[in-house]
Amino acid sequence: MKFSRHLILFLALAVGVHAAEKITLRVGYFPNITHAQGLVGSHTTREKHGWFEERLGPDVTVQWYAFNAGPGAMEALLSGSLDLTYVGPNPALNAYIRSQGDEVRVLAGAAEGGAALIVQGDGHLAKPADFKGKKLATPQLGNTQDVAARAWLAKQGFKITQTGGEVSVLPTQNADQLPLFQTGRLDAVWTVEPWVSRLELEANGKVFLEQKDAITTVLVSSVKLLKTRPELVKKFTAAHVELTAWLNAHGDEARALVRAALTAETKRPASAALVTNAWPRLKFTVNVEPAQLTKLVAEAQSVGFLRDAIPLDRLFSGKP
Amino acid sequence: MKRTFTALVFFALLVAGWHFGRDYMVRTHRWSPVLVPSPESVARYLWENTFAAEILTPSGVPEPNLNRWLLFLAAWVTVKRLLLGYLIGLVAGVPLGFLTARVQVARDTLGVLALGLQGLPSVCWVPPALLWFGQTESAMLFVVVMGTLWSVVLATETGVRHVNPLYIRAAQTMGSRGLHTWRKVILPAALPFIVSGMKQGWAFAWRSLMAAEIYVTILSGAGLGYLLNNGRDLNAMEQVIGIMLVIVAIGLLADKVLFAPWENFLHRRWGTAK
Repeated sequence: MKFSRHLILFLALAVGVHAAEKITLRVGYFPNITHAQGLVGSHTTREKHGWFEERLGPDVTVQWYAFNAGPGAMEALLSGSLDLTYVGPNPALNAYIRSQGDEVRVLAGAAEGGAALIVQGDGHLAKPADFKGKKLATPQLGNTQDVAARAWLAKQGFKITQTGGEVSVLPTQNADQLPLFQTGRLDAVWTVEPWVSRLELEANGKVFLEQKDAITTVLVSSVKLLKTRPELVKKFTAAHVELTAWLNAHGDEARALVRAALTAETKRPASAALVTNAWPRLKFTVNVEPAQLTKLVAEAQSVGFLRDAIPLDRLFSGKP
Repeated sequence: MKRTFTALVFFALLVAGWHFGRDYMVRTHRWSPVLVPSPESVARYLWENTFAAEILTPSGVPEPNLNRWLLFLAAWVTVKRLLLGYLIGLVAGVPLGFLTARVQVARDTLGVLALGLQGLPSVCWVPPALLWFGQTESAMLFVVVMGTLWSVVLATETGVRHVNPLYIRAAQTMGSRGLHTWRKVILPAALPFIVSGMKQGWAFAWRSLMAAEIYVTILSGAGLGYLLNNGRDLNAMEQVIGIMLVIVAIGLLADKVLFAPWENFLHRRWGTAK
């Protein structure tokens, strides 16, 4: 009797101590090539030699969550179910401004380029004016490509609202865009790699416009995490910087790893041609120019998704 | 007059509580300002998406409002879907209900089917409807009909079966036969049940349509559910709450316009009016 009570006490203590030591980081990413760091991170975690785990120490477990696009990821971050995430700049800005700068911080850049507007290969969309009355898909309402598409269309003189307008902008999941585009039910798609290449290679799409220097992906943290574990955020950022340098230095290995990750993630083989086609469109860099983001805020305002702007200095402060 | 006043005071207090409560919770950092919008921002959203002819750009310049009447258009899209599906449900449901009430074979077959399907939340019909009809109006229509039909069938059946046999016998003694009995005796006697079945059918149809609109994009028209989900995507909670208020308003309006006249009529007919 006494022995068993001791045993229970011992077990309880052991479990308690164990639980206190283990830290779980919940990190979001999208199964896109523009999220190569997240792809490599999640894939190496799956293969039990996690890039981030090896640099964060044995007490840290990294859990990866895949999202279709940024608004979903930011929603998870704001509601406290995600600590860090790779995300496009627009959803991050949206969350930052809507929370009055209290919830989100950009830690580093991740990728530039890799986003494009693809049109049907038959040439019926040859100039901007041809888009009138056509259907254009984006990954999710309010994501970076969605805002870019709406701002670009507005600049061409089209009137667009959330429910329609002179061009139908249809937020549609990346995976659904491909069959809809193949069957001709979409005239154009504004999205990111690998979907740009897949639309080109598998659906005879043509690149109409490429966003070469636009920021596509950044690494953001919740302020909650920065408050509770600043040293962990620092380590994660350092591992991210190191990984970005590795991606640039070891092109072949990186492409193979990204390809394996995409295959595992989407449960269908990603071809080498796909990754090779997509890679030169992208630049992996940890730099973010605040001026670029200021421009994006103006774009979001011009399409009516954001009203008030606030200074962006706290977004880059790296502090809660 | 006094009743209106009481109601006004109640709602003014509710909004004031929302405003000050939210303000306090946000200032003390207990609530995120993103997740709970202020009543002012909701009011502004509603105004700018209905009557406002001009809006101010961030730099303070007025420009024509692209979103004017947006909520009315979206509400019309939704209500059109609802009314059409609901009417089909009624037109098919009431005769089927009569049939199951009076014909044993129909009760054992159709009646059981109706009972079973009425228990199935009609949002379950959304996935098959999407596969059968694609992302089209027909899919929405199908879901709404499925939400309405079965509860109308069941309510009508119950109503007809509960008609006091004495009424029928008395009518027959006085020479009423066939269709005359149906029209003048059974239908009026069953009407209270039928009307409550119609109300229930309306509630089911409304709920299933909202669920369907929130999680399916229909290319031919953007309804209220679509806008509500947009608000979520934009982290724009004032839009989400604003749309919810519009949905509540439509529900109240439907009750006043569609059902209140019927119920008043019934109360008069049955002598239960106050």
